[in-house]
Amino acid sequence: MSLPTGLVSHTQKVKSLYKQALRCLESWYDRREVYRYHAVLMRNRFDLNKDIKDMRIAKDLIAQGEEELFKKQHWLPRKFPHSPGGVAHGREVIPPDWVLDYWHPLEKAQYPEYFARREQRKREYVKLWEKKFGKSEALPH
Amino acid sequence: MHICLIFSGLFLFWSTVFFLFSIYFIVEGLTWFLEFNLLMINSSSIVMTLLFDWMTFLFMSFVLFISSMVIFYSREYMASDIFINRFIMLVVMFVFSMMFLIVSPNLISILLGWDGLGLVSYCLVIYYQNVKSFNAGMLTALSNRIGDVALLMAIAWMVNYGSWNYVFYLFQLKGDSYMNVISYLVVLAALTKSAQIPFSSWLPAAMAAPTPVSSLVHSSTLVTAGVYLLIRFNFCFNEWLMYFLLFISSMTMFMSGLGASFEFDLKKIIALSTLSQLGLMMMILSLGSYELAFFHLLTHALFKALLFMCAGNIIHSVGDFQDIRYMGGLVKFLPLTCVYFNISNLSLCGLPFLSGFYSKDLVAEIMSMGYLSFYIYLIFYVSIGLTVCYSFRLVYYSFVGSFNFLSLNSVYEGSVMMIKGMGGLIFLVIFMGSSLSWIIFPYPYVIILPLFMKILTLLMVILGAWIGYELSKFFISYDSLSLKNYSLSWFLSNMWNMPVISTLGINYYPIIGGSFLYKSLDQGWSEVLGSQGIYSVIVSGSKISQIFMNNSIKIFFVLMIVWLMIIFMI
Amino acid sequence: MMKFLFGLLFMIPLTFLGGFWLNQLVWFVVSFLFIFSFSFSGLFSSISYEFGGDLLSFMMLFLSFWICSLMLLASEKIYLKNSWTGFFMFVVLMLMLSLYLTFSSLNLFIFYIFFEVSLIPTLILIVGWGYQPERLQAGVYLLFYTLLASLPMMISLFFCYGKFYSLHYFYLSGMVNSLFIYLLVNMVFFIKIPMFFVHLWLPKAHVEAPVSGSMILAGSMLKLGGYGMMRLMIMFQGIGTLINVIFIGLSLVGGFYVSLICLRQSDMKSLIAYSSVSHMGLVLAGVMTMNFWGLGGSLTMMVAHGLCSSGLFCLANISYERLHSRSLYMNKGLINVMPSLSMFWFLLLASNIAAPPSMNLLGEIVLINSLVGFSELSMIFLMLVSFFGAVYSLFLYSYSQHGCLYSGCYSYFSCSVREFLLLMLHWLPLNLLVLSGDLLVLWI
Repeated sequence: MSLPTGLVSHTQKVKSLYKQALRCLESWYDRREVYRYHAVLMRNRFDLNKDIKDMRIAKDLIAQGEEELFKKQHWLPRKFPHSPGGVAHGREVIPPDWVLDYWHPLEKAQYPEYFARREQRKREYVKLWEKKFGKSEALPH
Repeated sequence: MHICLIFSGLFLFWSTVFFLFSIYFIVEGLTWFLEFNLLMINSSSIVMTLLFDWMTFLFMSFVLFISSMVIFYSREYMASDIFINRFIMLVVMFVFSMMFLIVSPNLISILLGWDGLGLVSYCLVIYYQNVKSFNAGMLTALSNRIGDVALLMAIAWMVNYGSWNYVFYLFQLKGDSYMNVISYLVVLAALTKSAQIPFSSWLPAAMAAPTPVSSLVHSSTLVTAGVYLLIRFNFCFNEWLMYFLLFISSMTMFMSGLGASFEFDLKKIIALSTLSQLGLMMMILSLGSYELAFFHLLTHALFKALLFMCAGNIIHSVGDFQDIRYMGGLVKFLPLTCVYFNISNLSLCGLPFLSGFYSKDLVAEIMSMGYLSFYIYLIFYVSIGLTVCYSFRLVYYSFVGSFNFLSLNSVYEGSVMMIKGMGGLIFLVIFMGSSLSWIIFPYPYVIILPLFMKILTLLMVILGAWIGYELSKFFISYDSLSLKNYSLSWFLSNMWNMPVISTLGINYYPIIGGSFLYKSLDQGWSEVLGSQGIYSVIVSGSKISQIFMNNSIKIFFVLMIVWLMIIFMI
Repeated sequence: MMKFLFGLLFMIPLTFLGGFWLNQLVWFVVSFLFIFSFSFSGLFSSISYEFGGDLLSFMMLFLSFWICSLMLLASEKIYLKNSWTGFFMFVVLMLMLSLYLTFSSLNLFIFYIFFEVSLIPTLILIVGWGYQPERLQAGVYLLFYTLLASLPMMISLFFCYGKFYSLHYFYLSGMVNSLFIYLLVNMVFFIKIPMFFVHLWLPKAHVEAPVSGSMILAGSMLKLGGYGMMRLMIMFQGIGTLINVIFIGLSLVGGFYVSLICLRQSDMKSLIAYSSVSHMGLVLAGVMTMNFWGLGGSLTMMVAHGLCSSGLFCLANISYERLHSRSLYMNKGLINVMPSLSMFWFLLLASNIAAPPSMNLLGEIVLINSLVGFSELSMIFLMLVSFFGAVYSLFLYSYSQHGCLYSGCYSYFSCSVREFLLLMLHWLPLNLLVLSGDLLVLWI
């Protein structure tokens, strides 16, 4: 899905791992107080290694952490319904605005005020455009 | 007038009419049989057959009543949707297909309802435009299509008898080799439609549909179509097939009961509970008591529809959240929904004198009386316990305890239409079990059991309730036993890996095979040996002849000499 | 028979002088006049000058007339752009004329000649009004696949003439127990229908053809193969019982393979074209069983497939005219902008997977009966064909209709009443004719 488009620094990796670990804990320990307890433990595990200067060890630790995260993923991670991966994500497609321009005249006639206003706004927009950028040249088709 | 009100009123009216008809037909012992001849090929005629007896009328009246309530309910649930008209029309089409399925005792005319159910339910599952419903719809439609194909094949075998009105042949031809093949294929079809074990994965996946659809389609009507077909067909099953069905259905019941105890999606828990109830119906059916299966089918339709409607109300008021880990303590916010939810849940568990009790307890006791094997006995009672277990877990998770939802919320019981729609069903959930048992059975079943076996159901219920309560409690979560037994809990929560097997496991080879065939056969060998091959042969041939044409006049002279020599030598 | 022939001939000036819509109207009038002269007896009737027809011919002719009327209705674009409108209508008329003579002739040689003639207007349609430069190759494929096998057929017709002293259908009932003649005569029909392995011209021609060309190809031209085999299979009763089983196996396995190939298509028209190969494989197998059910089912399936896949090509074209692409990656989420058209997609694709009450279902049931009666082993591939038929149809539906709209699409126009009428006129006969299914099996 996502192509690696930039460099990800070590700090970012640790932060991301920490956040994902917390999310994972959240789906396993569903009572808030229990989750808090485990979150503190998790924070402690990260804090223990925060002073490691040797990048080889640090990298290794991250790899281990990611592997552990993968091995402990929940079968139904807690997701907000409207965020990606959630149950209601992308349920309704909002058709683009230009679809309205291609309505049949009879359909448009059902909402006369709206379409009158819409046409007026379009004219105003064209006027604004021309004022700003000048008249467009003759279109090729 | 709003489209929902129109169809809701219409269906309510017809439901009442059909209910009265069914009572009349029971009292008089009537059966009406109508045939429309469509086509005659030699001596076998393809007919549209309609069979009306108390069973069809009762089933139709229940389906219409539930759909009337669900459509009324959808007016508010789907109110903000711009395509609500399409939605309601699809639901109405679904109800019509169901009617056609119920009244057709003919293998060809039943296809009208059977395929209609599959296609319309596909449209309803993919009603939402997200990828989840896309996949779920594909899984649903294709699982059901296996059943359609099985029915088509059954039609091909039925032609041996010269007619497809199977009701005439079931008794006489039991044990006939053709009839055996037909019954195997019909059972296969019913297994797909009722989501029994190899095909179970579509039912929880189909929960991607809007909740009214889950309430009407995937709990009370569509999935019971398979059971209904078997109820009509069960007279011709041989012993082996009955054992097979018993095994499959008991495994389904057990599997879904376990799965529901590990599930966190509100709708999927109820879907899995539907699956376990379907297993129960199939089980009692394969033990020979088809009337009991029908009885449980009806009562189950009522309380399961209500359960889903309550779930829909919860989802609606908490803003599309379906994860029960986000809920908790909702009883303070949604008291009436909680009451409905609990009543139908307890009815599902078989609490005495609610409607589920009459059917489920009867099933359990008939099961115990016709003692078959310890395995069946054990699985059955454990599954009954599991039903109670996940129901109580669900209640404790979502309604009791601490409030786990977002702090900015507007959870309150404001959806009047939905409450009214649910209110229409609640009375039936409470009363219909007893009244149905008085209506359907001409005399009460005689149950003779030792005390321990008699109260075993109650014991299992209490045990299940206790375990369910424990499951929802603090200390389970404190040490997360499911994290400790990681692979086991994955296995159980993923329905014994069935969703993986029936999606990736099935579609991998056709797609790879399609690509292979397209590349190597269609665009490969067929071209090489066909058009492109001929083309290249002709091109190279004409290139060779072009060498001769190409200005080398000596070759012509040589050729002429050769020819002359040949002529002279001959 | 002559009255329609002359009627068609006198329509030639109308194509150049009358307007587009007048021609359209006249086409419908001719179609309905033809339906009114329908003979329901099952015997050969309306015989004059070597022409006549039984129910088989009448059904095929009805299909051709109907599809030709709808072709004009579908190609409004040609009229609007005025790209040789008169000539286009003339070509359609010539096509209909040759199809008319093919289906209504009682003489095998006339059948053969006009069978060949019908290729030429189709070729002109594809090469003249197609969209891409590849249409030349497609036209060559179309022409030479058929020609390669049809010239041997002509020679074997002379052999038949020597044997029976006539080429009337009535006199062809003797036995020709030669594998060689069997292959020579039938190979052209295998290619035309098309059987798997010799089907390559069909997806190419469909992809490159304009909508009218695709419609007539799927609607009538493929049926020429089935029609010819139904007429001539009586000659090969002896040898057929021995070697038909090979072709039944080939077409059933091929039907399954083609269904799998359909799953890998990203071009809508190509997908529909491959799905026709799969369905016509069933038809071929049904004819090859040489039993009553097989022939009846084949005719039912041919008529059903003619209406259904022609309608699907119309739908693909309607999308193409709006998005200027037939790719499934661009045709996305159309239900959000044209819900009513999406309904027609669903209805026609549901008919394509043999959902009741379409004629496809009737045809499929009868064909399955005949094939399972022929051999239980065919159940395996019948099940697979039927199942994967659903798979690719639903794939096409959900891929093109469900989800988000293609984000590179910035303008669009709604569906016109003409297009709805066009689709309705495909769908309605497809689902109403099932009520008089007797018509399709009584001709044998």
